[in-house]
Amino acid sequence: MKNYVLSQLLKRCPLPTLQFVSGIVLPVLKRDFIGLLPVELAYQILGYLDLRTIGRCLCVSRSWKRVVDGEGAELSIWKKRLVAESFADDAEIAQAFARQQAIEAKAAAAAAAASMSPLGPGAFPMAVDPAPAGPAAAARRSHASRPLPELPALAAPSGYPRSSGGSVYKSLYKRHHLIRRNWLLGRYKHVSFQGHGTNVVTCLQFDTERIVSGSDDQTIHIYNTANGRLLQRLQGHEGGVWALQYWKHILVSGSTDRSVRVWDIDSARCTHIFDGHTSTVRCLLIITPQKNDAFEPGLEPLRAPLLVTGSRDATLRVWRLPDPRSDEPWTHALALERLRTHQLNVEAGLVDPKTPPPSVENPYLMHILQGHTASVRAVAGQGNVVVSGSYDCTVRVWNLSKGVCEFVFEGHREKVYSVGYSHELRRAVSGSLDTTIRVWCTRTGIPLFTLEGHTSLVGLLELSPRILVSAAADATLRIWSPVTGQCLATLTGHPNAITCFHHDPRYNRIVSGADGGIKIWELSSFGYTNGPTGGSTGPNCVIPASSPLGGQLSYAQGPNGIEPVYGRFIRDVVPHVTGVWRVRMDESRLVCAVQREDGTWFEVLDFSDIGPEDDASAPSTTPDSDTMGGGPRSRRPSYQPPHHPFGGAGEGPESDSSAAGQHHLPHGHHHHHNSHHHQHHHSSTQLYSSVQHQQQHHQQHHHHHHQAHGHHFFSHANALGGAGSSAGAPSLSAAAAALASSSSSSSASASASSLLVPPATWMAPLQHHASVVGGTSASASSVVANASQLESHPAHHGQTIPGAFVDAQF
Amino acid sequence: MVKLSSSDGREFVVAKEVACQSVLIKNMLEDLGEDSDAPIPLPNVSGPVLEKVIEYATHHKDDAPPPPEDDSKNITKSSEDIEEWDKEFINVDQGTLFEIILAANYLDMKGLLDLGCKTVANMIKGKTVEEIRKTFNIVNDFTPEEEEQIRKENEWCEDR
Repeated sequence: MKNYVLSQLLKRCPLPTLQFVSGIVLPVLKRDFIGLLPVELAYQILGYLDLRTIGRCLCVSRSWKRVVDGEGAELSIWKKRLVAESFADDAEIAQAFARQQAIEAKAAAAAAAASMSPLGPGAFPMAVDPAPAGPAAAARRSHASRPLPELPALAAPSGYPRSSGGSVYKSLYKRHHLIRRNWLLGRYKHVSFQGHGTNVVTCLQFDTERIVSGSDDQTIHIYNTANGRLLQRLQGHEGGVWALQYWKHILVSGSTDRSVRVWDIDSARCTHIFDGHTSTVRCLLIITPQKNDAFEPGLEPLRAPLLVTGSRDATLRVWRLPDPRSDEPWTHALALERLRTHQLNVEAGLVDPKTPPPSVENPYLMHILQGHTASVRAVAGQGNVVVSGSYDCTVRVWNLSKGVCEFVFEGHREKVYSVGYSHELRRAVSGSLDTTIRVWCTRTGIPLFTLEGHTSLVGLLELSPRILVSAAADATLRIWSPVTGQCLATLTGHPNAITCFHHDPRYNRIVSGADGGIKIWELSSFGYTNGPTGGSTGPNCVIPASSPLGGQLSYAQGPNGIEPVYGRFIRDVVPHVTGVWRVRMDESRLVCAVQREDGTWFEVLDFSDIGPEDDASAPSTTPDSDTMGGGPRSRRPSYQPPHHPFGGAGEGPESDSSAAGQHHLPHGHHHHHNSHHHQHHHSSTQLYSSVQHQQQHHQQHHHHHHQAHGHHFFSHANALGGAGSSAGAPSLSAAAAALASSSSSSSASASASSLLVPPATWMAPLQHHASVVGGTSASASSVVANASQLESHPAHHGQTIPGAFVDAQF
Repeated sequence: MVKLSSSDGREFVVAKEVACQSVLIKNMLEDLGEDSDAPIPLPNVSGPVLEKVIEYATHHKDDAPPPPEDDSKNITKSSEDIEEWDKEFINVDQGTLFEIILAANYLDMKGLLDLGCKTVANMIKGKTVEEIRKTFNIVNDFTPEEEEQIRKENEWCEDR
């Protein structure tokens, strides 16, 4: 009846009246879904929204804000987003909760002090998730015992629902989101400082506190990550440092002086020196016990951290990793000293002659892995599995607990320069001068794939379970599936051979360096989320519209439906450098060592939270060394060498007694006399067409060498860092890859790279020119001298010059 | 066949496989036993809404059962992938949509619930705050100062 009357009435109404009615009726038909639906349904709706819309929902009304910002939203919205976008880090979450509880406890104490009355446990909103009780509880106790009456009362001054004070997950999400956004938008703070003079930075590793660099100037520097201040200079090696890794406070380095040194990273004390290798220690790897070490039969758990070193002497050595803080120092000299003291004591009747004399054997040495017939160039591993790549063209898989070789992988037709290992996949990968990458099964020893595509030396590899990234002297990087062997992308744009790169699937990024500068790439367009790939393909889902990727299609139509796009270019950073020695990144920073006209520089790009408002400094302009702001410009302070128990004055002419003394070279080593070559000019028309052109390279090599000395054509840095790149010499650029790479990687893959096989014919000139460098004049001389110094040790053993190195140098 | 009784006393007779699209009804049928003839009372669902729900269940009676839900992956699901028939089906006034969502939740019909929630999400997506208020006829109950502060606090969401 009602319906009938209404319809008859409306039929007779003129338009304005209908519009009036509609104005009344339509809003009534509308519903405040978020405010009125059961909250879990509101969460589900909000789960479909992009972040921008979520942010707007917060501003709609009080009831909407209660949903989006309320306590339940912590788990139902923000934690979910944190997990889904791969930001969740258990340790960080626990820390955040502890901090939050400490703050709340403080406030509670303040309130208690103010009111002088005990408060019930329900007085304060506690974190939604149970946080680890230990430290938080302790913090609460300590704070509670110390009333802080100056603190304001707990209640927020404004009346609307409590703001982000208690939202641990939302705050964490915000932090990570902003960092990622800043990478995409190119917002960063830039600190720039000089170090290692004009020398090559061979290894680079960093964390939030320190940057550790190894150089062919025989030293290791430790800088403050935040401001570039030189914290420590580790001296003691008597040859260039070519391999370095630290784990916690334990730093290990390997050098052309054939020794391995273990240092306390904080005190800069060298506590252990391991001799034994008979030639340059070229790669090393610290292996620490992991949860999944023995995830299937045939694998054994690692009981204690180990150190594996690979050398030009064709062996690997496995050592128990010393702890400089708890293990007594050990060097061969110290052991001999102890023996002598013992003997003297016996002679003096202070010690029973029947007491066994102290051993001079190195108690840390566990195995010598023999089998390779040429230089061991790269090492990777996890658990009791170690993979090594060698100039003998083979890859070997070793069982660490038994100290035996399990497989010899043969197939590469040229030297192997890089290896990677994935314990989860039980696969090894190797990159070679033969331009191929090979994938091997370390469970069965079966070769799985030969990955073809690169047209030049594959000097750098990083393997994570789902992704293999390779970089070559052909100026490209490639992304592969280590599971199927499929090439997923070829990253082009660098003008020269890739000298270094770093990728991390957690951050969905690749950073790569070549002469000219550094490029940042996106690993996968679906890599921002953990979830099924199909849904997150909308361009606004994660990628800010104003970023370089904003307008692009973030998926591809494949034969099996929608597929991600791999390896999209994001941006150039640190441009106009003559060479990039080494580049590494973590979630919020990019750290690199580069070569400029005036020497070696470190650049720290910090992408952590910078809003658009304080964005004046970014995107950074051309980092011209003259106008560089931010960090300290030069790090050659007056310097007191830290105390070295084994690196002191007692070691004769071999020790590098000059703090700034890259130019002061010890006697007994052979060095080039740089002045010989000043008359030579480099011709820009001399190009390398291929790294295989060794003879040609030989000649070119000398030209670069000469040119470097004379500063005639290119800067010396150019000659080193990729060698006349502007003249188009990919092979020499690749050489820089050799230089810059080392096994300092903290991941399970240690990569390496380099260049040409040095033809025997050009060994002679090098040795012929060898003489001691007396002066400190030309900046290039030190590098050249160091190169020949590197060469000199092996030469003592009647072996060949380390090809990669010499190639790279010249 | 299964008899369903709505909140306003209307009775609907539907095929069992249609009724069992609702996990609630499916469980009830299992509890009651096969031979029970009594109508199943659905006091939370009105006749018109139940009609819509049955229309949906009938159309989707041959669908494969939904894959087990992984909670953490919920967020990455897209609200865009709605099939044509569903789009047409859910093109209703907000009041009805509201009721359908509540009914789908009560009846435990995941497909229909997802459809309803996606539809609401799509109504919110990409809109400004003022447009959202207008869309759902929501009164801004913030003071201007509060609104400005909240906007500022959450500016980081804007992805600029």
